[in-house]
Formats: sequence, C-alpha cells, structure tokens
Amino acid sequence: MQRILIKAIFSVLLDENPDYLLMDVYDIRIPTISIQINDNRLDLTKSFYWDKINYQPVFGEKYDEKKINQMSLNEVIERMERFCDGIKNVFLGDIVIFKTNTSEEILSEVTKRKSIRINYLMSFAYEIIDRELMPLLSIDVDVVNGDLGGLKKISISDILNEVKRDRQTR
Amino acid sequence: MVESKKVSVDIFGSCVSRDFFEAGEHPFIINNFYSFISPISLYLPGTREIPDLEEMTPWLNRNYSFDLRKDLFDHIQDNRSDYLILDLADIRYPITCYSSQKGKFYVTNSRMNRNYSELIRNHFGCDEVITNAFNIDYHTLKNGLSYFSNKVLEVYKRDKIILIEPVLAEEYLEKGVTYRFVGDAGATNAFLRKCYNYVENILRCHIIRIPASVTANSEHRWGLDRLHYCDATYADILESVRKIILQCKPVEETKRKICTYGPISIRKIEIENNSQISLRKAFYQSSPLPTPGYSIGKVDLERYEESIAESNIVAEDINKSNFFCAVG
Repeated sequence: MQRILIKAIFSVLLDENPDYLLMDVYDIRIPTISIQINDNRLDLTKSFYWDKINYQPVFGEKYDEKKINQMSLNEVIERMERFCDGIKNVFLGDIVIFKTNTSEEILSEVTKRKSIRINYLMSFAYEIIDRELMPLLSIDVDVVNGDLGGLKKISISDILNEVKRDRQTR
Repeated sequence: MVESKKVSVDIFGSCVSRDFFEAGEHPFIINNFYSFISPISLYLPGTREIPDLEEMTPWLNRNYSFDLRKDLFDHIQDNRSDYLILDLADIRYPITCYSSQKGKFYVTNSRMNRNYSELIRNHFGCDEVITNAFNIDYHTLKNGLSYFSNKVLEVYKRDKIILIEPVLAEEYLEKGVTYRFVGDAGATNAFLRKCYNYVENILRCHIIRIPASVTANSEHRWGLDRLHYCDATYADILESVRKIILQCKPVEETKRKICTYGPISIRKIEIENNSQISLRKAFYQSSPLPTPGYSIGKVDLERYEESIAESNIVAEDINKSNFFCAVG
C-alpha cells in the first residue's frame, strides 16, 4: 500500500534535491479549504485524501471551502506568486512545465461557462510560472473532457535532451 | 596512493575548510586558500582598475583583488593543485554594487570590502548599493552558481573536487555547557542548502556534509562564531578528506533525479527501464493555491489522528504543509 505523505512540496524539494522538476498546475481545479481557529489558519487542498478523513468542524472552528472560480484574479495571482516564491526558496534546478489546453465537449452550457473561467484563471497561473520560474522547456498538453488516462506519453530522455539543447542555446 | 607522498590542495571557501587541516596530522600541503569571495560575485562584472590596497594583510588584499578583477579562475588554473577543497559558505555574504560613470562593478561585501569601501567610493567617485544574499535575484543566483561550477570543472575533474557543506551552528559549547545562539540561523541554512544542492548536481563530486546538529566552540582559536566548530567536527572532516584522497576514491555514479508536481506531469512521462533518470517523488492532488504562506499558527487536528493513521497518511507537520499525495 502506498504511503501518503503530508508534507509541503517545498521541504521535499530541499530534501530530495532533484535535478529536474516537471510540473503542471492542473490540480488548481481542486477546491481549497481553510480551517480557522481564532488567529490560526490552516490552508489546504481539498484532495481525496482529505475527504477520507471525514473532517467535521467543532465549536470555534471556522471551515471555509473555495473553488478557484470563486477567487478573484488578484487572489489567484497573489497565491501563485507565493507558490513560485516557495519553489524559488528551495530549488535552483531545471524546470519543465506542462501547459494544459483543456476542452470539454460533453458538458452542459452552465458547466462549460465555469470551465471557461477556470481555464482563464489557469492561463494566468501558467503566465506567472513563466515569468517567475522561467522554465527551460514548455510542453503543450491537450486534455479532452478531463481524460488524463488517455494522455500520450513522452519519453523522459527525449524531454531532458530537449532541455539540454535549450540550455545550450540560451 | 601511499601515506608518505605529499598531496597538494587548493581551498576555495570559508574558514571551516582551512581549520579542519589543523585537526591532526596529514600528508596535505595547502597551496592556495581563496576566501571571503562569494561565487555569485565572480559571475558579475568586475573592474580591472584597482586603487592601492595597503591597509590589510597581503593575503586579504589578494583575495579582494581577485574578487574585484574576476580573474580568480585564471589564478586557479595557473596554480592548480592535486585536489580542490570547495565550500560555498561565503555565498551568505551580501553583494556590493559600485556604480560610477564608467559603469557598474560588483564585489563580495565581506570584511575587506567593508574596510576598503570608502577608498573605492572616493577613487571612482561612485555610489555603493549592498544586496543581502537572500535578496539576490533568483536567476542571477542560479546562473552565478552554474557559471562558478562550470568554471571549476574546467580546471578540476569531478573526482578531484571535494565539496564541503558547512552550516551555521545553532548551539555553542562553553566550558562544557551547551548554549543556544541568540537568533535563528534556519533561513541562512536553508539558503545554503538550496545552493549546495544545486552545485552538487552540477559538480557530482565528492561531498562532505556537516550535520545540522553541529556545535560551535567558544574556545575556538578565532573566537566564537557559528562557523567556528568544536574540534571533533574538524577531526571528522579531516578523516573524510583523508579517506577520499588517500584511497583515491572514485566519485559514486548516481542517476539524475526528477520530481513531478501535478497529475499531468506524472501521467505524461515515460521512464525507460535503462534510463539514467530516477523518479524520486510525484506530487498530485495538490493545488498550488493553498501555499504555506496562507497557513498561520497551529490548527489542532489531533482528533483525526486515528483517521489519518487508518488512511495510511504520514502526518509530518500539517500546519506548514500542502495536503497531497506523494509516491516514490
């Protein structure tokens, strides 16, 4: 059974010291949660691992759940800049970014509108990563109807050879 | 290699890499000791014109001149020894930028620059701006370390480089009693770790890590400082260096490491069986939006300890973290 760690990506990057970080922000679609007790606040992703815990707020705990399309553009930008600062504080290695182009063909009109806003905000997230982290390589990935299982694979050697070529031309 | 044969070494780095040679008998001759120079400063523009430097010792003046002229690697190349002992602790120094009508030049703001700052400003009729090491632009830091590491590799083969990684001690020993330094060195040590990590991956040379629990010594010959360690630490470093050099140890070949973040990254890549790449951690179910900066203080979730255990989650410090799945 796989072990599931609760640990910030930032401390893992510092401990593992990878040569390369391959990243995408597709999980930006998952809602975030915030639990507040007085002045203390815990901000997390509402992942399916979190759901398994069956959290129920008790007296004095304020629970809030927010989807990205409920956030203002400014809030998304500010949070993404903090995320990039977190990466910059611990990692100087090479970054490859997978930029997702999503299209949803089988959704209702209402869901489609929400999806368009999510994609609009996600494009800002990628812009901030481009500006702040300056990835060495950017790879476009088409995701149709959220089908991640059907993605065509790319050999890691091909990706890293491309990174090396790109580094030499800079 | 036999013990009796003398082995020449150059040192680039802090006092730690000089002081451990005092910890016992050894067959090493120190040819050159380059110090008080930030590797980042060597990547930035310098100046060929230097006023007469007379107030400090010739050794300090020489190091300051290397840093101003950026010709250190010419000297290292012309005076190469058998091994290079490298430590990057001096990267913690701020960088000074002098701007005159002739242009800008940079130098490490270590003790020499603090001493000669007025002389330089008067000579060039220029201003001085000092940037804390933490505030050096991300890409300048990265490019600077990359430039420095590749220059080192032009002179020394990987198996002739020993990278020592000093950290600032949090505690010191005084008359047998351990005390804690005032202030926290955590941010500086994390910064050093980040820089050491990056250089490790470029140089892929011999590495000697100093444990985070290292203790400073108030009776150190140069006085109390977070980098003035107890004798036992120096003895351990010397022993490690002796083993590497006298046993002619080759550098251990390791695979390149990757981590992935996000569900696309892990699903999109294919790692061939014979690949020289190893996947260390794959993160998913983790939005970048709830970054640690948004968590404040401590929210007690102890009542979920049992559920966390049942779901096979290993809780480290939930209050500093994203909540995600990592495989690897």
